[in-house]
Amino acid sequence: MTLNHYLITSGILFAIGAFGVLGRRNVIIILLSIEIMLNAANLSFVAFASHLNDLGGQVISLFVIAIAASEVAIGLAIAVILFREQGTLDPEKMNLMKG
Amino acid sequence: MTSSFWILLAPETGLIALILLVLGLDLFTKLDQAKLILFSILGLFLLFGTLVFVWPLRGNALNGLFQVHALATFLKFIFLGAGLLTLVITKEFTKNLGNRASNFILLILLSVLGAFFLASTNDLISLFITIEWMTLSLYILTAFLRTDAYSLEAGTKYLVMGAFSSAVFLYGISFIYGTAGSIRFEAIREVASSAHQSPLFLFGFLLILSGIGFKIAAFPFQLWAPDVYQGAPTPVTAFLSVASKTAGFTALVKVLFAVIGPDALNWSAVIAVISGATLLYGNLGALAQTNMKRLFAYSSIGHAGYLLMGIAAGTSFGLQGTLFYLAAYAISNLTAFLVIVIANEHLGSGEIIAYRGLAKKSPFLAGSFFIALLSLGGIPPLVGFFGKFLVLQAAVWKGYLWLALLGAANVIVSLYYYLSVIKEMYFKPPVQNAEQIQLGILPQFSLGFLVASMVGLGIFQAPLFYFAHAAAQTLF
Repeated sequence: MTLNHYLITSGILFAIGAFGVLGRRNVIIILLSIEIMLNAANLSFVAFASHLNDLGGQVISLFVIAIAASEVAIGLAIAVILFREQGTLDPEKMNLMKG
Repeated sequence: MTSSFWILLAPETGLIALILLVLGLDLFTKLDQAKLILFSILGLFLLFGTLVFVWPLRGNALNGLFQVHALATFLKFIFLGAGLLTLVITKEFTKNLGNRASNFILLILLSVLGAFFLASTNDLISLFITIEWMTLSLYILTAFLRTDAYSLEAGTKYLVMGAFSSAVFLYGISFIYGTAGSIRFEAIREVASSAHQSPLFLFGFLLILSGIGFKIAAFPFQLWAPDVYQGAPTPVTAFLSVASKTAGFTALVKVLFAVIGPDALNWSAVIAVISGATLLYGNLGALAQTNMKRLFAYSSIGHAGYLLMGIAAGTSFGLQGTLFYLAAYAISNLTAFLVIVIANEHLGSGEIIAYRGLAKKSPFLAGSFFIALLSLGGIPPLVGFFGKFLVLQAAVWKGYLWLALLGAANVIVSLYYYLSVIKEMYFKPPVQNAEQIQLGILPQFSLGFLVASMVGLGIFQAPLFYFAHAAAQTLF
């Protein structure tokens, strides 16, 4: 396993996450996809940290996990209100504003 | 000159103390929500004193992570002013917030605190964390009116686009870290200024630029902005259009001038093209709008184009122009939003047609809006004119004549839609009842002060000009 293997894996994960955000039609799945993207970045940080023999990258990934957790907490809260108020989690149904 | 930790962090410490105090007063006393807002406004006003105090100081704290210099303090002035005026705007909006107004102001204060740390960061990861710190509060604020379908829609869109862009930003940072071996600005700059960079470094740089592009709503990453600005509660729209945009530009300036350096990688031409496209998109999009907040969303995209123009010049003078423009834009836009929030409450509608005959209902309100719109449009002798003048001159000196001409042409386009609002206010009779709008003391005083500073700084530009000059010099 070299650095490149990890980087390619993280690239694939990032692409899966990005396609999930752009293509799926459920707010919860979109939030999960964003988590996948953030974790792809984490994997890349940790792989580089191991390659460079530098602890910094691993510390960064801990910070990112905290940020990702708070982002999802807010996202799920909004999703709950959204479902209670409108009965749907489909972003395509949200089209009050245009132009 | 080096100063001790607590002296350098005086504004941040003061703001943290204020946040804890507001939280405590809210939890343990039965203080009225309106009084709590007044208390926070007073607290933020006093914090200006600490900023004046740290203005001459230079130094590092927190092991070099936190830097105090003229640029950081200049930006903190804008953030604090935006926070203060957002609270004044919130005061006029309390009726819609019910008994949750205290949560609203706490989130705004927290967002300002994140912005304060953002202005002083010295490495990429704390840059990322402070931007997130600021934005996380804004996600909640945007979706704050939870029974309002517009606010919920705006909140959902902002959350999805914002989180997506931060993931892109972070992924970019990981490549910069991997290829430069550090996240400190100085260490990366050495790698960036060498003749050959690895493709991964360039890819990381591109991802970071895209992530910041979302934050400042620059073309082609601007699609979320109109919906979010229109749907968000009006005080939040004001805060988004000034503080959040300033935060994005802080990050952009730090990445381009401190991390990459003005001469490396030829980024100037890319920014110039983005600037031109953003100008055109914002100003042409604004022509067709009928909703006031949506009009300002498009116009603020247009202003991002002018702000990018000064950065594209890549010189100290261009950066000075951008900083001057940021301050001028902040003053003018916040004046406009203070009028919008009061008018929307009285007129019961946010459509431009509802502003018909506003001059008859309240000459003072209409007059302040008139000055703010002319300043945003760039009419001399108001402060907005001088900001536009500086960025256009910087673009000409750099050799981007086409960009300067495009900017000048867009002034005319923007005047068209600003003047059409003025026409509705002054030359059309009121649609419904023509009863007078009564203004409280606080908005009267704030509007008077803001109008005075737009006119005053437009005629005597020197103080702000040298203030921006000192700030721009720190990165050169």
